[in-house]
Amino acid sequence: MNCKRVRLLLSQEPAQNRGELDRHLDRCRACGAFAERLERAREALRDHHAGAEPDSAFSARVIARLPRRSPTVGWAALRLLPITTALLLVLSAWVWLGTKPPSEMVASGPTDDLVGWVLQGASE
Amino acid sequence: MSNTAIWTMALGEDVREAKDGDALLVAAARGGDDEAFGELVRRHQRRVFRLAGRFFKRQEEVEDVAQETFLQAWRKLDTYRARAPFEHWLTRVCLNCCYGRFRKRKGDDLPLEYDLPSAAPDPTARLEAERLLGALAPDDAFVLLLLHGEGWSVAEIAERLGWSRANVKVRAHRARKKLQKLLMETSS
Repeated sequence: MNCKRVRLLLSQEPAQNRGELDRHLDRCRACGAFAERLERAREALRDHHAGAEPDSAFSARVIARLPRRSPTVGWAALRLLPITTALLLVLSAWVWLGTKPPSEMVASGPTDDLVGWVLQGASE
Repeated sequence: MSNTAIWTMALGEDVREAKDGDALLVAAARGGDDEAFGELVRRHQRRVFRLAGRFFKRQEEVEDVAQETFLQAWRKLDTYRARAPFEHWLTRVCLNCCYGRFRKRKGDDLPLEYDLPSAAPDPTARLEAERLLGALAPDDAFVLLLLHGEGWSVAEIAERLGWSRANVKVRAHRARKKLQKLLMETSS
C-alpha cells in the first residue's frame, strides 16, 4: 500500500483496511504525521461550537414576534373536503333539476289585475 | 387561569416531558394559542441553540437563527404531520434556517473572535477549524460540520436535512477529499 492510498483511506470515515493502514503508519513517519494532523483537524471540527445557551426571556422574545394566526382546524378540515365537495355537487344538481326551464315559466295568460293595471295606466 | 397553566394541568408534570405532550401543544398552537407555542419553544430551545451554535460563533447570531427557526415553525405548523416526533420536524426547520444563513454568511469577511466564554477552548484548534472551513465550499463545510461536529452519518444528515443520500454522500466525499488536500498542503 503506497502513501497516497494510505492518506486517501485515512480521510474516509470509518477508515477501511485498518490493519494494513496501521502497519504502514508504524513504518512511515510522513503518513504518521498526516494521520495526527487529520485527527487534530477532526477534533477542531468537533469542538467548533459557539456554546451559546438561551436565556430565560428567549421564549418571550419569540412570542412577541409571532404574527397573529387565524384559528384553523388544520388537516381535519382537509379530510372533510371530499365530503363537502360531494354535498355541494348534490345540492347544485338538486337545485338545477328542480328549477323549471324558462319555456315552462311563461304564464298561460294575463291575470285580471295586470289587465286592469295596464288599462288604467293607458287611460291616464 | 392562563392557558399555560391549563396545559400544565392537562398534561401533568410527568407527562409534560412525554412526546405526546408536544402533539397536544402543536394542536393548540395551530389553533392560534401562542402560549402553547411558547411551551414548545421552552421545551426545544436548548436543542435549537446547540444546533445553531455549530455553525455560528456569536451569541447574537445564534439567537437570531434560533428565533428565525421558531418563527418559521410557527408559520409552517400546518405542514407538520405527526408521523414523526415534533423535534425531528423542528430539527429540519432549524437546519434549513442554518443552511440558508450559513451559505450567505460564508462569503462575508467577518471577524474570527467568539464572544462566548464557552467557545472552543483551544485557540489553535479554533483557528485551524476556521481555516479548514473557510477553504471549503459552503455546502461541503456544512456537511462536514454535521459529520464531524454532530457525529451524524450520511443517512442521518440526508434524513434530517431532507436531501437525497446521494447528494450528501457526494458532498461528504468532496469535503473529506478537500480536507485531505489542505492537510497535505500544510505538511509539505
